Amino acid sequence: MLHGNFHSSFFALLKEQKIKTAFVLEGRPGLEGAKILCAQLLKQRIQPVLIADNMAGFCFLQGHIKQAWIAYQEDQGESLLCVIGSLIVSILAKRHKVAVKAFPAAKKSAATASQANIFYFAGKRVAAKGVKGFVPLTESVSKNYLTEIYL
Amino acid sequence: MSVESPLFWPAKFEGDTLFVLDETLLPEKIRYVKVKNVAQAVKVIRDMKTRAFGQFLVVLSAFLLVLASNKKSNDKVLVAQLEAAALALNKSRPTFPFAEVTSMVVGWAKKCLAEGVDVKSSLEKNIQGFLMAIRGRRLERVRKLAEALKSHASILTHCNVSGELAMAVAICKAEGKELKVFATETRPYFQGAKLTAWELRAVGVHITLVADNAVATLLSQGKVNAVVIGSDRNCANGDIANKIGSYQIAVVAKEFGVPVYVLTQPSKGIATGQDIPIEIRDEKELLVFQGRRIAPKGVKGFYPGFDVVFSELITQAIPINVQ
Repeated sequence: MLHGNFHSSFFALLKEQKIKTAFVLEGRPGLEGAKILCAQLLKQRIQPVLIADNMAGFCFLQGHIKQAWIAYQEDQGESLLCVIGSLIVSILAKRHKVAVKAFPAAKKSAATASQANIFYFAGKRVAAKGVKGFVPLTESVSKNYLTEIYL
Repeated sequence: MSVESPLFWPAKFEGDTLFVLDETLLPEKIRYVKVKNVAQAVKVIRDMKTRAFGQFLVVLSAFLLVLASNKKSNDKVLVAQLEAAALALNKSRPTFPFAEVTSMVVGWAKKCLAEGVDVKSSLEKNIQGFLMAIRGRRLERVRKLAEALKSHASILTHCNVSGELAMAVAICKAEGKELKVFATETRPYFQGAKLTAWELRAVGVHITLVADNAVATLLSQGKVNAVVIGSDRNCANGDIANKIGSYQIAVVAKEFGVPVYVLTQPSKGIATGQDIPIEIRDEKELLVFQGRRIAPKGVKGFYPGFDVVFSELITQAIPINVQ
């Protein structure tokens, strides 16, 4: 399972490891997983299988995930700053005894986005009017969850 | 109950037609789909025009449609028609225990036949009575949930609990309890963004929408002190099945010591969560949104519709009284 916006050198590592298929989280709100990561994998002839961000748990539970990779943007000492959703992946991986590896991200993102980002999907409004939104784009992942950190 | 969400009872009979609230059009439009026969009932379930409790309402009401359309047949033929309806409804969506409901109705019909009682009138009475009993018991469960929610609760919910959470928080609000709710948007159908946010907003509750991937941040930062979800299927050992995403929420909640409350319909029809057949839906429902692909061509999709949440992850079940 892959989550985040990985540095370009990451894909050579995947090729080296002879990875053929990868589950990719779509990465709300910007859908970077669906748009960018999937395209990068296709270029490397690795088959991306897109899942919604809420389907990671199912995939772990069914034993589909043999290793998990998250992209980190900053080393914060006891934790890594990663794209939102990385903490869920890491907690699930720990529960299911799957290795979680962190690789540098291609770029650093803002900490939060405006609430309007959650009201729309692919340019269309999906949220009821009058509600508020909370849109964190990054989160800290404790190194306790991680198996390996690439520099 | 001062405020009843339209999602609490999303189908109604008028004449010989069932009108089913089309939840896919909410919140922009409140429109009811006309259902006149069993095939149409199966279609509204399969197309997810209605879901969760609404499906059970449609399943039970489909038998009323069979009864209404039966003008001249003898009781033996009528029971055969009811059995055929049950079979079609049972196959509509595999994760749901429709067979538990349809076998009950067919059982009533067969009993009437064996005892020489008029099947049509007896069955109509039984189904209507059962629906009214369910309604009362669900209202009781709403009150139980309201009691479980403490003042200053900050609740995370997922998907949509068929009106019950909105009604419970409305009760809490009337009692002076201060509550706020975070709702996950619930991809790929956005039931959280469309249904839950809409009905909670309607009862004047502070509602904040988050992406499905923001749950761990909310829970790890102490922004949430209770998780409330529904259940689509219940097992004898306390495991449940609910909307995809429920499992990871429960796992993360356990990691951060946040209690998970689940509205349940106790059943011994299936032993454990591992025995629940999980519906895998068409990848297009994930990859294509309103006619546009969200990922490049060549990307595959995987869309399991439900998660199993094991009883060890559930802090408190809030059951409907099935006695």
